[in-house]
Formats: sequence, C-alpha cells, structure tokens
Amino acid sequence: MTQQGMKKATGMNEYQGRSLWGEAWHRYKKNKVAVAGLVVVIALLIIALGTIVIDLVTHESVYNELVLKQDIYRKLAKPSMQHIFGCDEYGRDIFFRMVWGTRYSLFIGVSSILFALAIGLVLGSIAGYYGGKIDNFIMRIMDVFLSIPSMVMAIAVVTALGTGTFNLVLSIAIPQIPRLARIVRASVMTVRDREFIESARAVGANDRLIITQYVLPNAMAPIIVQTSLYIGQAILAIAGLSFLGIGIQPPTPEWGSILNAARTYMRQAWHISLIPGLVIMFTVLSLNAAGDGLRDALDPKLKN
Amino acid sequence: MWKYILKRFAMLIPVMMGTILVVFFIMDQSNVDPAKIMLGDAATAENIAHLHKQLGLDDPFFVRYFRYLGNLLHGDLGISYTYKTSVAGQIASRLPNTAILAGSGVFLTVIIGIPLGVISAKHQFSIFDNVSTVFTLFGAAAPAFWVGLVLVMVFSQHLHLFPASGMGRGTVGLLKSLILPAITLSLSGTANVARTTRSSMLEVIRADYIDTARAKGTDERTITLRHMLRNALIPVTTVVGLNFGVLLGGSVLTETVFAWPGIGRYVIESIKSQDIPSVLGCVVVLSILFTVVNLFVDILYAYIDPRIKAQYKSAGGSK
Repeated sequence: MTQQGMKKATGMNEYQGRSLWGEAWHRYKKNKVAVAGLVVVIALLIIALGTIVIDLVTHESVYNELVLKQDIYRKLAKPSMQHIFGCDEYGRDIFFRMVWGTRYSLFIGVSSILFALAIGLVLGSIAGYYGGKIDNFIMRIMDVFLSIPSMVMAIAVVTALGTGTFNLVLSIAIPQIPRLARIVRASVMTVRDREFIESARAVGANDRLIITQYVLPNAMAPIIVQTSLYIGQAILAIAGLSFLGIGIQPPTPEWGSILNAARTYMRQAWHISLIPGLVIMFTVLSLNAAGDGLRDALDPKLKN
Repeated sequence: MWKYILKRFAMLIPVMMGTILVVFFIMDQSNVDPAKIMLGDAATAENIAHLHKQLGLDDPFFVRYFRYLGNLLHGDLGISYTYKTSVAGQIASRLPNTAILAGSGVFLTVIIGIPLGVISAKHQFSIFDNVSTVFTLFGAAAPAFWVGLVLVMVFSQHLHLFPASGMGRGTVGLLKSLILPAITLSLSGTANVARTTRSSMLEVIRADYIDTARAKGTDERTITLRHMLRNALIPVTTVVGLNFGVLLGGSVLTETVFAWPGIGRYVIESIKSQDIPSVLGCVVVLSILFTVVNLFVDILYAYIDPRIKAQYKSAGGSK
C-alpha cells in the first residue's frame, strides 16, 4: 500500500517499463481462480509428459502392468486405499488409466485447436486485411462450414476417414476453422487501418511482411484468448467421440472411452461413471478459468 | 421486411448447396465399398462391378454430387445399405423424436437460462449471483453425456422417478421419459445463455435511459422486462441460435445415453454398420435444420430490435 502510494506520489506509473505481456501477467497473478486453473493445467501437462517419459524409459512395461493388465478378481472393485478410483470391468485400475489417458485429451485437444488456428490465421488475416471481394469469398465459404453443427461434422469426418489419432485431430479441427478465422478476421480489421500499418506501407513493406510482422502481432491478444477457451471445448468433443465409440479405440485409456464402458456397468459400479466425468469436468473448468483469466488480464475493459 | 425475408431465403440456396458439397466431399473420402456391403457374401468381382454401374458409383464426383442434389429435391436421400429401404423414410420416422427432444432442450435453455441471467445481473455479487455463476461455469465444463449418466444413476436407479432409457408412450409417459434427456441436452446451453444474459444485462443496467425510466416513475418490473431485457436480448438470441447447432450435435450423445429413438442414434448405428448413405443423409438433414433455424433467428432480430428493421427499410433490404 505504502509502496503504491510512493509510486503515485513520485508520479511513477504502476505499469511503467512493462510490455503488454508483462502487464497482463501482473494482472493475471491477482486473479486467484485463474492462477488455480493455470496450476491445474500445468500439473496435467507434467502428468501427460511424465507418462510419456515413463513409457519411453521402461519400454511400456509399466504401461502394460498398470494400465493394460487385466485381473478378473478385481473386476468392478469399488474405490479403496489400493485403488483410489476403483477398478473397471476388466479389473484395471481406473486411477492409472486416467493418468495415462491425460495425454490423449490434452494433446489431441491442443493440437487440433492449433491446427485449426494455423489455417484460421491464414484465411482470417487475408480476409480481414484485404477486405472487399476476397473477404466476401473467404467468409462465404466459412459460412458454409459454419452451417454444419461441429459435432455432426466431426462425426462425418471420423466416419469417412476412420478412427486414427490424426483423423481425430482433423475431425475436431475442421469445424473450428471458420470460428477461428472469424475471430482472426475481426481482430485484424481493428488493426489494419492504424497509422503504423500505413507507415509500414509507406516504407515499402510488402503485404506479407505487413501482415506477419505488424498486423498479426498487434491483433494476437483476442485470438489467443479465444483459442485457449476452445481447447476445453475440444477436450469435451474428444471425450464425446470416444464415448460414442468412434474416437480413441480401446484398450487405449482415453477418458471418454472409459465412460463408454461405464454405461453397461452403471448398476454394479457407480464409480466408473462418476470419477472419469469429474476429472474431465475439472480439466475443462481449469482450462476455462485460465482462459477467462487471460481475457481479463489482456483486456481489463471486458471485465465486469 | 418481406423483401428481406425473401432475400435471406434466396441466399439459403447457395449456402445449402455448399454445405451439401462439403458433407458429400467428406463422406466421399470413405474407402468403404458400398457394393461389397450390400452384396455381403455374394460379393464377387463381377457382381461388384455390375452394382457399381447400376448405382453409378464410378461416375465422376460432380456428376454424383449433382445427382444427389437432384434426388434431394425430390426428397430422395438414397437407399440404406442395412435397412434396404429409403434413407429419407428412415430419417422421417425418427425426425419427430429428435425434434421433440431438441425442442424441449431449447425450451429449457430459454426458460431457465434467461431468468438466471436476469436475476444474477439485477443482484450482482449476491449469493444468488455467485451460485448461478458457479452453475454456469460447471455447466459449460461438464461433458453432457456424463451428466446424463449421473442423472440416470440418481433419478432412475436410486429414486425410480424417471425411466432410464427409451421414449415413453402417452402424454405422461412421454413427458416422464423426456425430462432427463432434455435436461442433459440443455445443460451447456443453459449455462451459456445465463452467462450471456447476465453480461449483456450488466451492460444496459446502468444506462442513462434506465435512470430516465426510473425517474419517470416506471415500476421496476416494466423497467427490467421492457427497458433492460429487451435491449439485452440481441446477443442472447444469437447464442440461443448458435446453441441450436450444439444441441443437434449433442443430441447424438444424449440419444445414445438414453436410447432415444431419434436421428442421433440412427447416425451412430449407421456408422457402426458402415451405412454411408444413412450417415450422409442424417448429416445433410441436421445441417439443413441448423441453417433454417439460424435464418429464423436472423429474422427474429428484426422483431426484437426495431433499429434493425428500420435499417433494412432505409437500405432497401441490403445488409
């Protein structure tokens, strides 16, 4: 308090000497919910990477032992000290299956949104920067894609291409391309008429250089915020597809596919239904909290 | 106004053609040979070649696409490989069930989401607002199908209040079987609508014209409904319209959880039996439905916001 008072008295700005991102981080730190969300997300990333390292070092022997090995005597065992999340219909420990399944939800979620963002960036920045006929042409095509509900589109893609991991990424990414392209376009349009763009043009920079070096870096904040919020949606979509039996295939321990089995054994084993769903929910909740925090930090005007 | 509606309908045609082109192209990437599936054990190289010719499967892509479009205009979506009957017939018999479910979903979304948002905004930072905010955060993050599973465990298996699956007969039976799937389907939408309503209400709640209305002695109810809500409703309408697409996609999951005999379940059955014309037909019908609903939402704007109507009048219907 006194320090702040000092700064005010001496005419020093609280935000002096910080970049946009430094300033945003300063505001982000004050948002406890957002920080909690970020901590969970980082923890999940560490878990996902940790299991990959374990698999590489042990040549998947730990994976086979803990995640895949079936034990009929533990079939549908309730949560206990040995198996905190209980066991599934093949007697496999659900806790370890969830831990090893983290990578699928997280990495497929992130990579599908990044994939959609890459294409959305190109289409959206061209449409937004040039405007006119090019804009109209690109955005009408995007409208066509938008008129197919995203889950329905994902189902169509998986049906046609099959259920590989890459196809799954595609099926989640394609419906998000027009949404991201729209956001990029809107953000680019707010920047393209600024003076510094004009001055770049006056110095003779070509369009590609202007878009990549001057327009996009200044239009990135809202794009990053929306992207972070879409990752949660992507994780829900992957879980949904796996639940339907057209996502990641068993015995791979994907979160949604664990819930698929739950439906059959709901009467005997409530824990199979309850626990994976809670984990998915808290993951998406954390991602959303981190994304919301980012939005508030980058654009304090939006906060109400 | 009519000119605007007509124009929007005219614009629907190229969008629809494009949508079907995209869907048709995606499904065309499938390497499933329909002839093999239809013939089953009788599949010899000769039979397959014969059937290919008969179905026109060897024709160029655009020939097949325009043939599909032409047939679609006659209400013909091809023949299901597994049922050996018309896909259109299969869809038509299930469409009402999906419509009932989706309609109830939208209904719940609106009658729960909007009041939640309005009350939260009017009593910002109250206990109600906090509880409602937590609900919207959880509602948006929970996988809908999982919520369905939990509802079944609680309300059908433990409390025996509602059936766990299927569609009940008679009005009471239907309503009883509809409640859990409708709640499941509407949850994320309700959360979204409540959140949007709250934030757009907060934008208008401190506007000067609200003070004016109060100064003139207008009662609080009229202020809330006519002066605040009506102005706050435009973004909410957009969210409800867009949410209809999420709802249609979600119906696939919800219908699977509750064994609801609608299009969503038909899609999944068809995928498992590699019945490509059925999957294609369902995707086309769901997309058309979504497009028409969004057109309807666009027209609705003009009724909610007289400014938009005036804009179309003065600009001669152009956007």
